[in-house]
Amino acid sequence: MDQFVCVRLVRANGLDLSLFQFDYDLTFAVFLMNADRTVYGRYGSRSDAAHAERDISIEGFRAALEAALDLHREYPANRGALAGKQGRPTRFRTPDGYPSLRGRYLPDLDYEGKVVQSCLHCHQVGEAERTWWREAKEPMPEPVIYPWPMPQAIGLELDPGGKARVHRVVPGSPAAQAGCQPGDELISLEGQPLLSIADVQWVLHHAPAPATLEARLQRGSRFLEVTLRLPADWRRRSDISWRATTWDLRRMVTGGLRLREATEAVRQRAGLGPEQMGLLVQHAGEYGEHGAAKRAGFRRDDLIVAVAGKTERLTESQLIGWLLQNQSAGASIPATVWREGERLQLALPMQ
Amino acid sequence: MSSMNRPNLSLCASILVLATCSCSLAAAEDRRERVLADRREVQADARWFYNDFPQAQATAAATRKPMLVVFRCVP
Repeated sequence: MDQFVCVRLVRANGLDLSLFQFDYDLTFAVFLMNADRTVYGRYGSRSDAAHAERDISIEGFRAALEAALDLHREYPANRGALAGKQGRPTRFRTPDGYPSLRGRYLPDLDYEGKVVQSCLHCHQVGEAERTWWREAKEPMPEPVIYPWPMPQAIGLELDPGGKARVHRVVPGSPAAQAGCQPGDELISLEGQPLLSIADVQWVLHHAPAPATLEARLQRGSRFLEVTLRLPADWRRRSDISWRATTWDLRRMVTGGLRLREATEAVRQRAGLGPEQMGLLVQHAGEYGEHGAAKRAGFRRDDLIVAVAGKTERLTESQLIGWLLQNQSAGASIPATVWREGERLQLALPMQ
Repeated sequence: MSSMNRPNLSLCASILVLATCSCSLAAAEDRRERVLADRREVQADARWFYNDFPQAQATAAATRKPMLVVFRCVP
């Protein structure tokens, strides 16, 4: 740590969005960079709300720091390889450019006054971007709905104790088809040197769908070049249910319902086939727009089996994404629920 | 409902409201204290710059060291 100049930032007030582009749902995120604003790498990942140890570790962080020091020693000769890691053009320079945040926050925290309330949280940046799309009445793009995909979306489980070391490969996945194996060290992706799982996520975040990504692996003493071929729906395999910002997406398209896949026992009782939708209402919001579904007649433990004529098996994340892309605010769409042995027709409000 | 019950219900509701408010106030005060304590702690540590990216950037340029920028919500 002594080899770095260390900075602690606790708020997104006045944040330079052209530089600090990261997964805004995180509560811990790191940039390793040069004083000239060149980003060497990012650190910090999350795949669920409760188990941080699955995605980050002290060992992994140390490995990222050491790799950043290596890149710093080689800088600026390696500037070309780092080009893809730099921030992309943004809609607004700072968060308060977004209409939903404009005028609500000062450029810094109000330490002498209401310091807690004066904080613009990082996740509010993601929410503001989504609100912008919803209010523009545009279909929300997949990278906005499913930001910062974890490598699991392409069949790769990476070891949080390393930089980008393969722990497991899902059979039949794009990673398996490319020939990735457990124990492989992912050295670079699309030519970008990788310091962390977050660096892999950065490449995935900006990848199109479908996509072809070139990867360099180290397997023992050998180096291999492989090609990852991602299908058109690869991004929809991301789980966004853990994200703080998904709360606002639920307001928009499920009327405040939190859904989860029903157990096999429940599915059997409802007579569902293996490919049919079966989403259980885990929670129905009470207040304001988050209580819209409850007011429309939905209840906790209802089993949703069809939405707008769609009956295929989907996760909550996939249903939210489909609704955001296909249903505008103000619509009310038919939904079929199974409740205590009966099928009921209800209307799900889009907001 | 008998009229005898009304004052009791009203009293319960008042206590509940007061309890909720005082819990919220206590939570808010606790959070505020944690934010301020975090600032005191980091500012007291000479290795860290607190919420001052430009100053850290200038120091990194002068010392030719790389930068470690940590975003961390105060718990």
